[in-house]
Amino acid sequence: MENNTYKKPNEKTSIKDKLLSKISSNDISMRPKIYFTGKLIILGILSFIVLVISVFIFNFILFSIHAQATDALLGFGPRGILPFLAAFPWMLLIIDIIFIAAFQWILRKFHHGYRKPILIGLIGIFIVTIVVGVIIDKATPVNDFLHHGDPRFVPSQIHDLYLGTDRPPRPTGGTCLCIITSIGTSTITAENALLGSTTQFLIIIPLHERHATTSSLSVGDTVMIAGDQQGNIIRAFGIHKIEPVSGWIK
Amino acid sequence: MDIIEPTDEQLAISVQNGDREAFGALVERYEAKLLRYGKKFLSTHEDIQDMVQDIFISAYKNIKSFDPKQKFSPWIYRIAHNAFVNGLRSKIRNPLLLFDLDTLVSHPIYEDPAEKERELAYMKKMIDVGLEKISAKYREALILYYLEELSYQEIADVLHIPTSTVGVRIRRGKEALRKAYKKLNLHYDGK
Repeated sequence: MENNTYKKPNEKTSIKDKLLSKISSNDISMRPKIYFTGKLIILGILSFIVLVISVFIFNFILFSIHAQATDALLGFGPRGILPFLAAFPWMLLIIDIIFIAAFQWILRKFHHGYRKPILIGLIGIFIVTIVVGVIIDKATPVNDFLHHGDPRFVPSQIHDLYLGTDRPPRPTGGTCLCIITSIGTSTITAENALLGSTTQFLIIIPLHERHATTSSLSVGDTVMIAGDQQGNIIRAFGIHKIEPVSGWIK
Repeated sequence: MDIIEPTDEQLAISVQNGDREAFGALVERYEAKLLRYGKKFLSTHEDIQDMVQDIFISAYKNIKSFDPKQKFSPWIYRIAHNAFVNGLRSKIRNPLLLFDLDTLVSHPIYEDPAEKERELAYMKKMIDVGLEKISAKYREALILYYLEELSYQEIADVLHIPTSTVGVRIRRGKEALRKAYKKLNLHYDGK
């Protein structure tokens, strides 16, 4: 470097003298470049793992609300929103947000990672997580493989997690994933689709409920029912026939 | 023949290549600056000399992590910031919150070099007196901006906060300084 000459200091400071003597006596030495490169690689791998986990959790949330027919509640109009929110796997979403926050925290360790406000970073990562999660759920066979794939190739914890979605949610607050046992003119009887359950429900279908009709229903169908429940009687405001997952069939 | 002064970054490259004298030159350039930064930030004179020495030791140990494509001053001020914050922590509980709400959202604040130029002389004077009366996070932003004359971007790199947050801290720091002056019954020249 041709301009890389500098004035030799005439006046030495005490700090400078002490430091140079420590350097000369090898009391202090530079950490090698590989140390910092290694740290950067570990941080990169860690951030990638955290991002993959957060995308996986979001993808699983989408898969589970579809597999357990929770998303059918959204087809029942405004009254379906509350039961949907009640059935939503909030705990998984909270865990996902924790991972997203962890990813954001790791990103801030990288050069310039701190320059964007935290909220913008969090929203950005959340959007990426949602988009990638939706793509994995809708456009790839990943969930199908993790759910029904050869257990030898799927980690057992993940396989168990997916098998858990075969178990329909317990009926709560007027929502029930049920199997129709008989159909009348304005009522149907249905039993809980939960394996081993014998709970019978009488479903009353009001005349002018747009989302609750018996048309196209037949005995043996699995339906998501939402309504106002009193004991074992549900006054339905929504009935949606769904394709049962194999594990539900009694 | 004039001797061309190498830049800090050129000196840092020389240190990375094993030139000890280059490190000595960097120490000479930054010793007074870091001492002033430490004294103003910590509002105390004890231990600062030792702390600055430790900062240089840390800088030497980690010099290979310095990217010569970046500026050297924010890099060494970052090491100093960490050392001084640790120094503050040992004296006061939670001197700087781990989580600062100002870093959450974007603030529509931009650096105005012309305004800085206008303010520089009297702000240096103002900071000299009332600084220890204001909170550490605002104090530090004012020191780095008006005394060490770093830009918003460089301060953001030192404090690891968004650039707009630097602007917020400087603005609030000036307000806090004005209030401190009022409390001390002193005349405040700043805006």
